[in-house]
Amino acid sequence: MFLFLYRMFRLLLAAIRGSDSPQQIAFGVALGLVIGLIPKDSLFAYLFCLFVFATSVNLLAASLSTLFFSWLGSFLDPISHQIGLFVLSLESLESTWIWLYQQPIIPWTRFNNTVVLGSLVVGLILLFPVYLSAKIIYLKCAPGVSRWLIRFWIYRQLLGRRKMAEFVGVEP
Amino acid sequence: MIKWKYVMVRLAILVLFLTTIHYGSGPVLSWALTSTTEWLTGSKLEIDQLKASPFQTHLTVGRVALTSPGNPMENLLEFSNGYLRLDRNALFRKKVIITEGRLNEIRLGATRQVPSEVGEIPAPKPVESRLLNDRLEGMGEKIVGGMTSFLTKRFDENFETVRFSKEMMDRWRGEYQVLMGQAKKAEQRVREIRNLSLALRENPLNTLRDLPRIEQAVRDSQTIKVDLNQIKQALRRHRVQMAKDRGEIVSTKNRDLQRIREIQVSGKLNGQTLSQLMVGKIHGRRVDQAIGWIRWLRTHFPHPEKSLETLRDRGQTIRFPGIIEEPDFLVRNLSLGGYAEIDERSFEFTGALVGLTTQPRRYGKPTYLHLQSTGDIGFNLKGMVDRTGDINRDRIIFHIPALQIAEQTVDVDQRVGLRIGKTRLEIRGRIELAGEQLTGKVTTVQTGVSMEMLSALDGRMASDFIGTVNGELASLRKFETTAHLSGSLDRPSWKLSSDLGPQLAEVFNGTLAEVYASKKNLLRSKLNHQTEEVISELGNLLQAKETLLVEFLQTHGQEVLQLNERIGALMERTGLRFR
Repeated sequence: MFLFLYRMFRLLLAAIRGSDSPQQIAFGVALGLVIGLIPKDSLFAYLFCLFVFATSVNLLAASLSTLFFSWLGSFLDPISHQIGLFVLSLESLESTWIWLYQQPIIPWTRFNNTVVLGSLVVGLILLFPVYLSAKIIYLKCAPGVSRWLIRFWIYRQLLGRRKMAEFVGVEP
Repeated sequence: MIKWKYVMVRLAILVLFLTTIHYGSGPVLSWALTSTTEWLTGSKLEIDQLKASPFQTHLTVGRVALTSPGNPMENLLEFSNGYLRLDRNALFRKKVIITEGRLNEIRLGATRQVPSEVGEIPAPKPVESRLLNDRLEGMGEKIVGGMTSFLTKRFDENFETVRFSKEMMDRWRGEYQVLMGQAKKAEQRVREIRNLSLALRENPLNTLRDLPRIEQAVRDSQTIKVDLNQIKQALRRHRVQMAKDRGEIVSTKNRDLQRIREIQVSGKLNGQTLSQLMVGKIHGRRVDQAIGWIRWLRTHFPHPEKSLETLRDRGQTIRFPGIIEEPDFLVRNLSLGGYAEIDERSFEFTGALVGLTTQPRRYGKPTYLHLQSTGDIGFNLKGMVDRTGDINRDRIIFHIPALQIAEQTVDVDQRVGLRIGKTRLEIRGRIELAGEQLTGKVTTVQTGVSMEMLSALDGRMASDFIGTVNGELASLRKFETTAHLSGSLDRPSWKLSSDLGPQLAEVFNGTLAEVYASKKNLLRSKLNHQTEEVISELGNLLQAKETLLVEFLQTHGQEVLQLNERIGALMERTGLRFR
């Protein structure tokens, strides 16, 4: 029983740690940005969460990024509101919005809220630049940061024995 | 090749996530409902158990209690369990629409075992409506007080005839006493003369010796003659005077009769005043209760300005033109069943709540509440809350066709009361509130009434009055009372009208008039009797004394003449003469 629980815990850690290629970590950060910016009473936030779970992005990076950008998002509300208001007020899109609003499930996204749509637009616009930036930063800073972090027990547990061996250059 | 490790882990997280949503929805919804209700109504909401899941389209809820604001020991409303069916399509469109549901074992105003935490919630102001008839307050008691004092009043000592006749009798007795005294003195002197005459007849030799006495007797007989003449004249005068006095007694009697005719009830009982006195307070309580209901509706039902949307302060929700939207929260039809209390009597009811929404303007229709009893007490209540326009409108229509009312006693006066036996009460009411303007009326009809007047009054007239009134009250079997409401919700006022007061006033006034007439007849006959008695007594006195005196005058008048002649003859025989 204890072994089973331990294995499950290890699996959970592995899932959270996920794949740790620079692309996967950078994509986790970018998706975390989108999720973090969008208000959580919108279905958009949960759809992106589902997407994070469905792909092999780094969940730890995505989670930390979500937390950070959720905090930052509250300061960006005025900008998001302006952008959302602009988009929702476009006459050319009005029929599209009306059609969307009348479809099932879509109203749960609260896309007709200026902050929700504005945050989504901002998140989608920043998705690729953040991905690129995160990738570059990771490649430059990861070795140094990892050396510093390895001193902590929690990081070592998250990293796992195999990765630890790889890190110190020994076959497991 | 499938990476099972990867799939299994994400599947486990997904299952964990969905399980959390499934089992966590109930507590989260419970918290949301509690906080929202407390914010909307100002009352504490307690939910024991709520089962909800996004994978089901119904909610089941255990015991729910909405506390009474300001009263920690009372629940405004509570129910044992409930079932709510949600519209699935509406849920997909982010609308919570309860298509049908049922709340069971609802209790209104139930007492709590544990006090609720309502410290911050201000207690609602008790309804204190103002009776517009108030200017008449106290008049009923005053008039009835006048009636009771009249019923116990004594009149007999006030007859002038009685007083005058007594004086007259005393005077005449004195007059005849004087005459009889004079007659007796004359008789005494006659007796002396007679004795002298007899003495002289037996022994004429003494004539010389008794000459001075004889001389005196002759003079006395002259005086007696004069006295007897005076008595005769006095008798003649008295006869004339007594006829005048009799006339005077009759005049006095006529004045007394006039006074009796002028005796009237100091003030007639006013029906409206009496209605207020009899049913004002009881009806006032019912009116206040009904106003309390509509005040509750106005206070606790959602206002457009207090909708749930104001909770969201992030951004602006755009409404697209041309879309007819349903409200975010709507109860289409909710069946209700439970217990309530009216006039301290519990009854079971069923009902329905239709069109309850947090966005009434968007819904465009009022909310309707319909409650009806299923037990012995028939009860029907229809409520309407309209928040769709610029003016908030509330309306309640209620009808309780037959409510058994226990025996009650109403104190009319400190010494007079009215016992109303067990009756059947029908209550009808319609109260409307448009903006702040209150209108409507509450009518009660009491049938099968049996009334009895209770009295602690002494005296025959009072007991006659009570007896007659109770006889008349036996025919009063029904009365109706109506309160016409006006004013505002904060300053409600009402005007009372009832046919009880006029009916009672008719009985009281009629009986009082009868008792008065009877009393006046009694007084008249008593006066006539007393007067006749006095006049007859005077007549008897006159006759008796006159007979005596006339007989005396005749007897002694002749005797004096005879004595005079006898003494004269004696003097001639003896050859003596007076100087």
